[in-house]
Amino acid sequence: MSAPATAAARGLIRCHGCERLSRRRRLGAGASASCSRCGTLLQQRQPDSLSRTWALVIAAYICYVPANLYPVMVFSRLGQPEGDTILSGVQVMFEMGWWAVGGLIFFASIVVPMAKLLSLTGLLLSVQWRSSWRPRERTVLYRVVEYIGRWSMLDMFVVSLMVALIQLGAVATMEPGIGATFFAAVVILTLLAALSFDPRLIWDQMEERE
Amino acid sequence: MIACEYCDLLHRERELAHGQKAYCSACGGLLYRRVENSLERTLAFAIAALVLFMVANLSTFMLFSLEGRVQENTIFSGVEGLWAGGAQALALLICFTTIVAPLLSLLTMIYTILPLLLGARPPGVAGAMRFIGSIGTWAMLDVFMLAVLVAIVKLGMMARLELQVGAWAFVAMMVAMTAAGSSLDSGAVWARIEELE
Repeated sequence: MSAPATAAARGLIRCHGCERLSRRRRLGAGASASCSRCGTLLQQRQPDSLSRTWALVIAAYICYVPANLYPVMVFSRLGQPEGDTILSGVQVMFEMGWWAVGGLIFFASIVVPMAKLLSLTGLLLSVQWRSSWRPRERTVLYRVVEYIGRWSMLDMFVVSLMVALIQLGAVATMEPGIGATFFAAVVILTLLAALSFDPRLIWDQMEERE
Repeated sequence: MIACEYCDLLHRERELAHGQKAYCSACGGLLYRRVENSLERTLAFAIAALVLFMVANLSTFMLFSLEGRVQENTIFSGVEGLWAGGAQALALLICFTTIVAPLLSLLTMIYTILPLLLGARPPGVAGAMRFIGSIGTWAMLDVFMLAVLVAIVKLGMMARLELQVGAWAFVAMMVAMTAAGSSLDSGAVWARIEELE
């Protein structure tokens, strides 16, 4: 079988600024090449994609623990504070019979972040183990992760709205909990991890096998 | 020739009809699309969105009434509430994703396209195009709007929430921004730049 017709296999580099293809040239130490059309630095793959993505994913796992253990919102009625974690907030909504909203928050705040972290970990491991298993499906999974990640911010926006709205002085107040900051950190870290992962690495393994 | 951004496979570019898109044969990723009058459309939607941005941020977003007290809220109230409540990092993040990122995205689009249509290459156009591509992830207008609906349901039992002009302007801005983003064809931008040189 002939080498797959990828840009890298044909000695070409795709500019990530303007998409123009340039011929790869041998450079001296410390030299770099820029795109002739737009001047962007040419890179065959995202630099240090795996180690950067690993670092961000591990940091996200670490923040994930306090994000779920600590309250994201503290509601005080007549001076009595009562904290709600993400999970207990969803539980309350289900108890109230708000299935649609509860389900939505459950999906955006619990299913999406966990699925995203596990997917990124799986993608990283598959590249590291030079897997040739279903590259197309893994690339689609990457695109889903890339697209869906921002929706995890949903609950943080809800917190910001509640905090702004419920300010009744001594009667009742709503304050952000420390969990909210950690949760937002998880969302940001996983978004950055998805951006730093280069899905072309999935396909590079395929070429090496052939 | 064009290489797929997701799997690096090379494709020969073909003429597309207006509104058509080309996908990668190996991984199914979007390769390129063709939009009729891409630059003019993007500019029109971006300017419309910018006007709506100002209305959305300067007018009342919603009225909140609880036990006889009526409170006016703007988009910025949430940021203030979080800041006052000690979650400064989260306040900055909410401010960035609902106000700063959409504004920067719109301004960069106008900065890039307006000069091109008038016949000049704006300085730093490559950086501007890369910026437009990456800032989109951080502009979370749609997520914020869904959060507003969730808050209405959650607070609906004890209080009354009424959406005001600011909220409708916000929804319209979201639609205009999405339209601007999907009208922007980077191929058309670079073709225009090459034409000018």
